[in-house]
Amino acid sequence: MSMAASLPNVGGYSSAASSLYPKRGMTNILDRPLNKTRGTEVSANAFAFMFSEMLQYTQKRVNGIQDLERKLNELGYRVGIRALDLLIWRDKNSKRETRVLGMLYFIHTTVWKTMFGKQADSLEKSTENEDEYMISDNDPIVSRFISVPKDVSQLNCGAFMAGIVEAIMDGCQFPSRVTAHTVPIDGYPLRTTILIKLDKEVIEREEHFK
Amino acid sequence: MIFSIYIINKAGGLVYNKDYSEGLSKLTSNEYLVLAGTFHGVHAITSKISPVPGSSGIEMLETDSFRIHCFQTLTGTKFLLVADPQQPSIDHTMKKIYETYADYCVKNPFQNPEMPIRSEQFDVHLLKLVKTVGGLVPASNPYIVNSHYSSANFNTSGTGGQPMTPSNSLPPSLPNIASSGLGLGA
Repeated sequence: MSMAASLPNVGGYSSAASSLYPKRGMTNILDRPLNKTRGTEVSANAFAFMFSEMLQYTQKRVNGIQDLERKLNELGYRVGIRALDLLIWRDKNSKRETRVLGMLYFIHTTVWKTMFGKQADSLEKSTENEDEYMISDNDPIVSRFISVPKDVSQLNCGAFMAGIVEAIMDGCQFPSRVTAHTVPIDGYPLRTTILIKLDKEVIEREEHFK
Repeated sequence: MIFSIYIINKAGGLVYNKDYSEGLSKLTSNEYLVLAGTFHGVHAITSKISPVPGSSGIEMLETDSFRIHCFQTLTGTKFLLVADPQQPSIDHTMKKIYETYADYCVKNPFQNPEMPIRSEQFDVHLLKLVKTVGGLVPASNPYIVNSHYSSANFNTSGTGGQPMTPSNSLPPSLPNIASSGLGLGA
């Protein structure tokens, strides 16, 4: 019985690509053209298993939940910095974002679509702090299959996503501190908000543009 | 109607049990373990004594009022489904339970294999599944225990991890063990 074929597909991920053995005529993943995106999606189940192992590996090597979140953030950072290069390479008429809003919109749409197969669900500006923005995902793929036990209930596996966002902000010269928070709403118990706190220099630069 | 779902690990230990019926008499936590261990043993024996080589072991145990369906995965985990004899498409339900297990237990980094299942999402999705395939048993269901069977021939006190020993002297036949252990009417 092949489980991979019988599990539901999630988002833009295809389980058809999850076959263990490359079919004849199929090229190695490293030899495929970088800018071809159709039909090269990764199995969401394979990702879920890998992320689960990443968490278990990390959990054995940290002291406490904060340390675990920091480590997850670092892992995400390594993904994000590479993803940014790839995204800009793929985008034929891409320009360098100079404004904060344009940058955040790029993350909200392009980055989310490429990495998670859908756009993020909301992009908001904090009402309390000038330098804070929030990107929310109602059903983040990284924590879809994860039930956090009671004793580590503060943990949000979205720290990985926060790391990705932080890397992309950093790579585009918008240094900031990015954290993940669980903000459940009706019907979406896993809803995660990525809080982006921009560095002072970014805010100052933004003032000059006005 | 689906009465209960049990999951037994490859060593015969009960790692998950959930009753979905209201009004049926409950087992004690020890009786659940005994039921799981006994079924595990019976399953092993039936696969050995089968005249057909390579037999899979017991797949279904039938009584007048309920059936216990068993599905064993390739890794040796057993899913037990206690259901109404009229419950349709058990195979499909079983596959869905397996899928739910694969999604919310196997992929959950906080769930150790072969250990008791503590996964909130698994509970939620299993309940959703049970509701879609058969609904929960209403309190007024006809199988509410009031019959002469109702665990009368099963000594519930002081079993303390011992093998099941029905207090009457009759040699236990399969349905008897199950029906007495489950406390369901027959």
